[in-house]
Amino acid sequence: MNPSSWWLFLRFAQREVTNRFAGSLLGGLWALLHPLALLLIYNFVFTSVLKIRPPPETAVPFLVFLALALWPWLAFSESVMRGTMSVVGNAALVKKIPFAHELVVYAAVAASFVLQLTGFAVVLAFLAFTGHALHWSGLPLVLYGLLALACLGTGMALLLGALQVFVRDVEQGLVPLMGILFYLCPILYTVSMVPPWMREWMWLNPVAVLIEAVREALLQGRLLPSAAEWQAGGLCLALLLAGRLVFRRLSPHFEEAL
Amino acid sequence: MSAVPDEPPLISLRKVGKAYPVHASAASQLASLWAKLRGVPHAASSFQALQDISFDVRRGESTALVGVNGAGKSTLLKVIAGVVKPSSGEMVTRGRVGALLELGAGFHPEYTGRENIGLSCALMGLSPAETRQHVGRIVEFADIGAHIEQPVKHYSSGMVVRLGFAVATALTPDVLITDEVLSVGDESFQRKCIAWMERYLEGGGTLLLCSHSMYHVQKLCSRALWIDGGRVRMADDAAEVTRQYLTWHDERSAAARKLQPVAQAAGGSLYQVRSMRLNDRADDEPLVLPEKGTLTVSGTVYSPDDRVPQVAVGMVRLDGTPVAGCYSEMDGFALRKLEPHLYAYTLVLPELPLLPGPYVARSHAMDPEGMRMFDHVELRFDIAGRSRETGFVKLDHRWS
Repeated sequence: MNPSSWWLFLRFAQREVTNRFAGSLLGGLWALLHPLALLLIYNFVFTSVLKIRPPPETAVPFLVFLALALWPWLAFSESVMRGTMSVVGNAALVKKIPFAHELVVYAAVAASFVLQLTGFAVVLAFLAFTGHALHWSGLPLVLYGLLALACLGTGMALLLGALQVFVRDVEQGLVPLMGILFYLCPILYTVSMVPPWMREWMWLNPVAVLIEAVREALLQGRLLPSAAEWQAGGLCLALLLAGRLVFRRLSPHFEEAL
Repeated sequence: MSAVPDEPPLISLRKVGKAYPVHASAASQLASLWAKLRGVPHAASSFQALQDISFDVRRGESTALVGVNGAGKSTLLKVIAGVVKPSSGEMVTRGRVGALLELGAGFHPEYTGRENIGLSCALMGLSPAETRQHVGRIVEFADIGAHIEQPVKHYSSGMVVRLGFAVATALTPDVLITDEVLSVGDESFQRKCIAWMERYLEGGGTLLLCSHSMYHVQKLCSRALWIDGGRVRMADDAAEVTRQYLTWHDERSAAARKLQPVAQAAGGSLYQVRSMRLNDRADDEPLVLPEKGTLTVSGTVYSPDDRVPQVAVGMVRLDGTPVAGCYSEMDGFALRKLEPHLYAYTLVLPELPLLPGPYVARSHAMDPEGMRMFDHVELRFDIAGRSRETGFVKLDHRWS
């Protein structure tokens, strides 16, 4: 990115963050309150109603087990959703002002990750403070996993955001898709709990592999990615490049369809 | 304001065309999306907004686009501004191109004027340091007082326009592209715009503007392109293009009132103009006169009772606005008898003080008393010239 694109990206990202809370009284606090509410309701349903226990080797309460995967998932899913809507949402700019359209997608993804990961950091700090044994040595793998998820989120947002301009059904399909993907990922469970035949196919879903990696890193302190995790990261990178290719093919035609 | 010949043009278009797809069905929509992804042209039904446009804009050679609504002017500006990709042809731009397609485009209503300046400057490619450098001047030029710290949603449309213009002009681009900017805002803002543009032009700037105001076109631009149906109908100096365009425009609005052919019916019981000529020309082509030229209207009037008829010669603009009328009866002129029942007249109008444009001369037959006006015959004539005064009469004047 050349410097002026970089500044524009920062402006867009900053606006993306402030837009979200503009006019609300609690402002940025919502970025934390919303996932906390989700966390508490899942915890209630799974531990008090369904009486599910995390596998014994994790040795942490379900609430902690869930929290470690929930925030990375939210960062990813929110980035895809907001990124997909970003081009259409900025139609007024796209139609009147020449600029690199992909910057609004990058900004939407970046803002989603920054907000959710800030929440994640607060939660991790809180867990550490309350005496839960998190392994900080796993931090490199955590960062790897989050970075790969960000690549994937960007790639999907570029792809879907460009398609959304021409086919408005994309948004309609995306909501159920993300709902299904949530349950296909080891967020409420671990990979060790799924039936073996399904485990064989898990590698096809890089989100599942990477979220599991982040949680494992924090619970067990694993430092480096496994072969499967490198593979998932590679897949994310490939999707990012593919998404960018599609976006760049379609972006000169955006004005026709907006 | 003259063009710099050795420098390559700032904007250069060669056979540029733009087609907008028109989708009848979801299937054709998907097919065209697939074609775009593969980067091949899709032969769906399309609306050809621009076709075969070629022209150059050189430094100092400000150019105007004129044409009726829907002719393709705005699309062409969008193509040059880089918002729309041409579907055929080539376009090259050099230097910093500033585009002002809509004043205040990109302003977010929830943010203050000052915050919006920040994003607008970033969109124009300024770094935060450069933005800080310009923001004072922008605020000063917009001149909206304490409102600059208020959300844009509380602005009047005039204030939005002021701020938009202030932002867009902060950079002094090599070429400034504007679409009907001069038609918005209040009187004092328009004055400010014009003053800024004149300073900009004096400083070597180049405008590419789109306007329905021929006054602005002639005042600000040396060249003009007349866009009609997505094509360049005429490209020449601004005075010539605006004159031809206005003529065509007036003709279009006058199309309902078709000029009557010279009446030839023999006999009859009414006073009647039988023939009419301008400057003794026999052909049907409209007469073209220079400014301050001499017009001679001559003709014959039929008198059923062979008493000497009267004649009135009038002039109207192409749209029917009366310009002047002369009556033989008032001036005490008696028509010459050519043969029984046929009388001739000649009216000389020296140094016609009309401004350039299309006009129609009319001869009305009147009864000998000068009381009743009968049918008329009319002929078209044009005044050519480059005067930029407005109205249609060239009044003798001096300034002191």
